[in-house]
Amino acid sequence: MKFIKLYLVALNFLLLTKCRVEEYGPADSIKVSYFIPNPHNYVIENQLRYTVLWSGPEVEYFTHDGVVPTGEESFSFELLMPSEKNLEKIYSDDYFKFSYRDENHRKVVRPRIILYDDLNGNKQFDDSDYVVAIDGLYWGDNHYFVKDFLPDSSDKDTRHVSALVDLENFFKELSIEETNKFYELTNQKYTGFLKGRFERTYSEDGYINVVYSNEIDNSGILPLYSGTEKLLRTDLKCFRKISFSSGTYNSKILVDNRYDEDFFCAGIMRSCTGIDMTQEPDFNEMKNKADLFTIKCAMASSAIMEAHQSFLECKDCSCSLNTLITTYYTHEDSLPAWWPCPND
Amino acid sequence: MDKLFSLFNFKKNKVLKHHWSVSFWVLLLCVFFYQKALCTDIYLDPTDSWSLMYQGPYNRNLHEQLKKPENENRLITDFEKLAVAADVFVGSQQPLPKSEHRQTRFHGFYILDAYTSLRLFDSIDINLNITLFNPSASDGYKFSNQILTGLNVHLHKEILELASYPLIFNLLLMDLDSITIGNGLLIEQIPLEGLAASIDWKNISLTGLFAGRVFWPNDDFFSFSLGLFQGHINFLASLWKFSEVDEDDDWDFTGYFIPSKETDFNSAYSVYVGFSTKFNLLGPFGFAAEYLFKPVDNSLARAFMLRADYKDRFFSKIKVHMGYQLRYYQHKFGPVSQLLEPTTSPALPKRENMYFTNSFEYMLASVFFDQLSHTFMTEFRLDLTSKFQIFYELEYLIRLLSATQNFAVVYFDNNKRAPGVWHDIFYHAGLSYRLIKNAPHRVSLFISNKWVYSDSLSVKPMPLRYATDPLWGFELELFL
Repeated sequence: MKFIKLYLVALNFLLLTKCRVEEYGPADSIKVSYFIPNPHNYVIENQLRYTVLWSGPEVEYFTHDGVVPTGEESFSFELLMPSEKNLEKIYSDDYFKFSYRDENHRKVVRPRIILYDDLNGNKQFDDSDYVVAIDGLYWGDNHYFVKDFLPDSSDKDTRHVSALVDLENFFKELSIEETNKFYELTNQKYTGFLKGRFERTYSEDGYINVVYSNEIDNSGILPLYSGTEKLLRTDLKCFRKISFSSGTYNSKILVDNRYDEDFFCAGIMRSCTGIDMTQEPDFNEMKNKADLFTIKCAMASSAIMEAHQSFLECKDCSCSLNTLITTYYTHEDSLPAWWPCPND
Repeated sequence: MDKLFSLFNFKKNKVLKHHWSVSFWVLLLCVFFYQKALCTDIYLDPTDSWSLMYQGPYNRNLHEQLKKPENENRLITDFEKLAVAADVFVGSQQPLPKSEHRQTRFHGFYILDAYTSLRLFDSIDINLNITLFNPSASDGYKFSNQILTGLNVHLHKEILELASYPLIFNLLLMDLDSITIGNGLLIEQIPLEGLAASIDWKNISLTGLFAGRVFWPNDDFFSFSLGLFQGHINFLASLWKFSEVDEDDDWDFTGYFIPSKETDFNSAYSVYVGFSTKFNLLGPFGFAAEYLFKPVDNSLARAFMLRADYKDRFFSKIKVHMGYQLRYYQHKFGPVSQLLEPTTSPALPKRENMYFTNSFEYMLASVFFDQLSHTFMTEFRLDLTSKFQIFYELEYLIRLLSATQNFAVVYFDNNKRAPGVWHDIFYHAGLSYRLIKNAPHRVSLFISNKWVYSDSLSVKPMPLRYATDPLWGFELELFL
């Protein structure tokens, strides 16, 4: 009887404590701030706005449409996690390279931040608007071919926001050490929004290698990258999986007709014609036709100049860069008035 | 007085809403019915005096230990200057038929756990513990033989007489063997190396202890206690210190992660202050309590434990222990501020004679969670005949882990989720046969789900104390 009494006392004690476990859901929003970039070869015509695109092969929807303040260096907004119903349809973005044991558990989404010129004034992003900047391009190993398009950017995935949409299963897979690292990356917050790379890979011997990036932008202001609209649109459409190739190079020579054209062009296999160099070529038209336009002065002589017109060709998320180089020759002693290369 | 009460102010914590008042009344009742303090001849005695589980010799005061009734049948008797004792275990831990569980590391083992103590001038003990063992008969002939040694010098001397009472000085270093601080709220029956010193006068004891490594590779632990009424009440102050580790030195030689400077502990020091009390109540009943607080982030992280036990013997054939433990660890009470797993060693089967409920199990989750646990434990021994005995040990642990300010979710070992309520039942039950009448030597066959979790090298510190698969075991035990 003594045992029973003791246990009754203990049980009563247990009930007295009114045990209750506190539990909280993850933080479903994060304040994000972005620098406003200088538009790449573009002047805002109507109104600069931002939106957030959540996209996948089967679904595409936008949230957070707002006006980008003029005269400011940056803008901020509260990024909210989409509803579960919408998230289920979203394809897990390959950017995160998150290797789960079970591929079905890959539920990492990269919300795309889009800065656009609302050309039709309908206050929502659509095909008729102009994409001014997005939150970075993923170019993997092909960055060499794209760097001219985005001279101010580099592959800084770690400086962007990712949304872990199935936190519960995500945590189930983590070791204690990995969990610790996760909370370190989020400043010990239970949140599905992560700034920084959290990557797991499996080595050949089956052990898990955990790779962390230290490049976490603690300043709180993230970059946006401008570029040609075609490239930015392609990146959005292809879920950041664009492959690049070098493409073709073509060239032609334009020679000041004060020269003897036949003599000058003799033996040159490329297209070589004489033009009136006193008239400035229509560089604006050349620039508008190309995705990237640059003028380069020859180091050997101030009388030689090159105009590079690069054309981006994309098909099914494979892009190539085809370049036309036009070389101008004039008289070193009497440079045309419009000639951009200084005579020193 | 307000400050004192503020230390107990748990009102903000919903888990603990009613604990304070309950604790107060229990404490009051205990003091009222106080009979006697628990006395012991073993310096820093880590023995759980209520448990029926076998708790082998400790590497100090061997002369005194051999005089205890439970050791009177040992074959090697106590010599005047030299005391010798040895436990010999041979056994196996195997999966049940048709089960998918795996055998433990100690699946075919022998252990010789030998203790010697040389007493010089009645005041200096040189204690040597040698544990020679092989956990596996499958690794190759004598391939996995291992030997662990622990040596300490124990000075125990009356240095002067004050007011007709002797002032006794104790100094123990380096092998401290099993150590419990207070009643085990912070450290309970953990083997440590370091130094302990104390001065005892009348019923007052002042003790200092240093341990070079407790649960983390780069920790140091200092503890001071003032014991009153023969240890009936102890006032405790502890310092858990962590040293910085070079950035390039992320891994210690045991293979466990050491935080680098970037991932260092928020607090290199953790200070714990509080008290513990422990006494018998009304014959077979015992009571113990401990309360500690730790200043952290301009606030206090608190922990306490209450323990009630009943141990009795019936008809000379039945022995029973029933116990209850309440433990509460507020988040951030543990000494680390990140999820860095504590580790402990050595992993030897003698650990199976301890409760799963141990401060070690609370340290990791303490980073994020408020933890409250109830443990009900029973041990039972029934002598069927003079040689056959039925035994069982049962421990039912309910742990409530409550999320706090950071709303964290963590999956711990065995996919246990926190926040959440964890229920664990540990059992160890079987039949033993005494080889010699009225002597403790025995052979046992049992089932259990509490097995020591060991690496191939048992001395390697491990983050898990137990493997919890249901297995059967066989063991031959000789107590020399």
